[in-house]
Amino acid sequence: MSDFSTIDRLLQDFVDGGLPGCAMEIAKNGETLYRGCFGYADLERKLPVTEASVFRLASMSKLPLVTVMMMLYERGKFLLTDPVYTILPEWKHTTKFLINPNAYQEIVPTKKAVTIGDVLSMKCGLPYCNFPGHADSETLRVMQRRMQPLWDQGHFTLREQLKAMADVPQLFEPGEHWLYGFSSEICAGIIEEVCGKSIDSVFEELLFEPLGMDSTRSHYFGDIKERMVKLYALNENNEPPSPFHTPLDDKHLPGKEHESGWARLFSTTGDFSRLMQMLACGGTYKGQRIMGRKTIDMMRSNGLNAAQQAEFEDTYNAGYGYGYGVRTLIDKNRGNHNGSLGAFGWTGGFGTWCEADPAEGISIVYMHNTVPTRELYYHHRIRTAAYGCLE
Amino acid sequence: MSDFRDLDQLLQKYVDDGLPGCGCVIAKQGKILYENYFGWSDKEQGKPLTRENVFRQASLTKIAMYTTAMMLYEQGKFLMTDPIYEYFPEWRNSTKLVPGPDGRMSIVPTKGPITVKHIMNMTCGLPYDMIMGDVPVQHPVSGLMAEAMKPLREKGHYTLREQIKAMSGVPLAFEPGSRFLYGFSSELTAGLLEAVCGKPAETVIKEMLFEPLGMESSANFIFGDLSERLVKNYYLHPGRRLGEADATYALTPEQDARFVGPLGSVSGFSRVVTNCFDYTRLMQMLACGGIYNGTRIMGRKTIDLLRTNTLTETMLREDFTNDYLAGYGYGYGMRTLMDPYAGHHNGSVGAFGWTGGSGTWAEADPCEGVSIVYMHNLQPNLEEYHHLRMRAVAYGCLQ
Repeated sequence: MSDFSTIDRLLQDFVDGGLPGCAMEIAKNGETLYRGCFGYADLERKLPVTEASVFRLASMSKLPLVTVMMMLYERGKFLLTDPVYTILPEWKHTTKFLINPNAYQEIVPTKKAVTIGDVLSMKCGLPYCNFPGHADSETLRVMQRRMQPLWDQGHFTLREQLKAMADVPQLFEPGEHWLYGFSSEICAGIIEEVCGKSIDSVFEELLFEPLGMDSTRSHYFGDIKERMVKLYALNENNEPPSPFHTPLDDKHLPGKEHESGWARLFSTTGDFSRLMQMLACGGTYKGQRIMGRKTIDMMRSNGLNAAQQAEFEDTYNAGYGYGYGVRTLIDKNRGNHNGSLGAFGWTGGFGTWCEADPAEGISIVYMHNTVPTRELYYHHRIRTAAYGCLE
Repeated sequence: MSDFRDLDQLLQKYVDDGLPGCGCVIAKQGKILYENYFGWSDKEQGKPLTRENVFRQASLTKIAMYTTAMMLYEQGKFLMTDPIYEYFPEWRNSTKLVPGPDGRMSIVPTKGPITVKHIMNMTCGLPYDMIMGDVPVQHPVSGLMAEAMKPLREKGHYTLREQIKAMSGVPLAFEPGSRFLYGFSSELTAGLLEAVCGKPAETVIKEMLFEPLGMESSANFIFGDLSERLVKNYYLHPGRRLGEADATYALTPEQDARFVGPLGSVSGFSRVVTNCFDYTRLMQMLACGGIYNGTRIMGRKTIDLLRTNTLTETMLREDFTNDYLAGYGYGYGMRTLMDPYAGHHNGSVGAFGWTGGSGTWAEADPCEGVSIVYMHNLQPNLEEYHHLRMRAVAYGCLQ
């Protein structure tokens, strides 16, 4: 039996050191090896984090998103070489900024269409544009101008957002660079169009219901709102955490007026472990086959060339390449990573982290919700401790 | 059953050829396959070498120390990306030597700080300033280090922390992380153990490794009857060959005291004293996924990381290359076998370990669950002759 007291101590240290609360689950071949809940979901009301605590996933929502994309791919719904416009026709005429040798900028058509493979591997030239504000590129300025009417009207659908972005001049020729951003919105739009229903319904049917992920959705229902941990700002100089409001929370409110764009998911460590176990164990969870083992192997194969690797890799992602919507371990030394090559997963911008290691059948899910996340400090420590605890 | 007669014959020949004494223990999955001792612990007095004798480990200490460091790493006590100035504040502003076109050195700030990773894989840019074997270290930085150490050495006794502080102003040989250079990284790692655990590195290693593993004859300091059990510290006269009459001499206990002594009495960080039987417990734990005798010491996956090569192709080709190290890369404080063909090595890829300057050698082969520990105390240690032969024969004896 593995001994997880190291993780207990580490997570307690996190909380003693000022983290409001956190939860973690490690599972192997369908069995839970470790489950830990520390600190508070609500510091003011002294409500502890429990196994029922619900956390905002932010970008960790990409895990179910790309998993569903890969499931549809292995069902022959599209090829990754298909242009996005075969499914979303308004993406037929994509453009990009061309900077001439004399620095004169012009807008020209892209040589190639954006393909489904491009958006699945984050190689479309559109960054994120969630709020108005400072823009560090002409592309982002154009995106903000296009989004402004939708933001003004308050409610908009994912499809309206995709239409507004379709001919925004991109930063580069599709497929040439790695750029974290709007690619995932396009994936969500492709899923909606291919399945003929909302992304939320697709998630439910293909993943959440078969896997029994009862607390994972995008809109509040039942007692979810009460179970959701408070979001806290971590302050400097040993000042205690303070409650932090994000407008993204409004997207969890039920009702059509809040279905703006692609809503982000919330989940529990227990729920998310089911998804990650399926991915760690060849597509099967508790005897039920969700997707193909070979498709998961493809999903976690690195698709970055040397230049793209440099765009992707920072201290936090050191040692990883990027496959189809997930980071994947390609160099243990660079990452000082004690997991197996091919371990894959992603991170959420409010502090969640997950990884599946198919070589071991292991999944690790960790969650806290703070701004900033201090992800380098927390995630790399729990990652090292989790793999260190394995027999 | 494996047949170890070839190994017996080889080690007996070492002694017949003039080596004062040697011992070797080979174990697999917790069971001793081979244990034998040859020659004398004290040749002049005719005392035979036995299991009870202990040896100076010199740099074989690094196996215990870096193992402890990786245990602390997997407990989340530090990250490899942490700058070491988080633990030693005086190391915040590092400088390095840059050779000019006229051959003169200028001192410029480094681009980045030394990180924990750099002290784990010997790329921090500081060599040793001490004499290695009988060869003075020829390195421009060594001279500067010796200068920085002068006040402490004149004072006589000094602590590891004082030594680390004294070295903080020495310009590095290169940008941290860009080259492999064996040396002071290990002192900094010992200092990291002290900073993280709040007690002497010697005590940390004893509590985290030697006690849980039942290594009752191992310590970084002399205690109990270890001083009586310690083999003599033999040296080969310069220019002489083993086997010639009076080719070797032994240090007097007074001369030897600067290498071994009670806790707190040796300057800087002291070195392990142990025997083959005890060190086999440590090497078996490392060969068998972190478990020894049913007790879990550390994680299997962390051992797999420990023995992952960390050096670039350039470092392997230009900095970590000689006939003795052929075939190996370097992981987190230990060599690791990458290319058996290049090393003429009949062990498994990923077998890992290190060597002590006074003649000891150890390797763990997780593929086989096998550990091999060999010890003699002679300086210079003639390692290439003795270790590579013993290694080939030991792996050759396995079933």
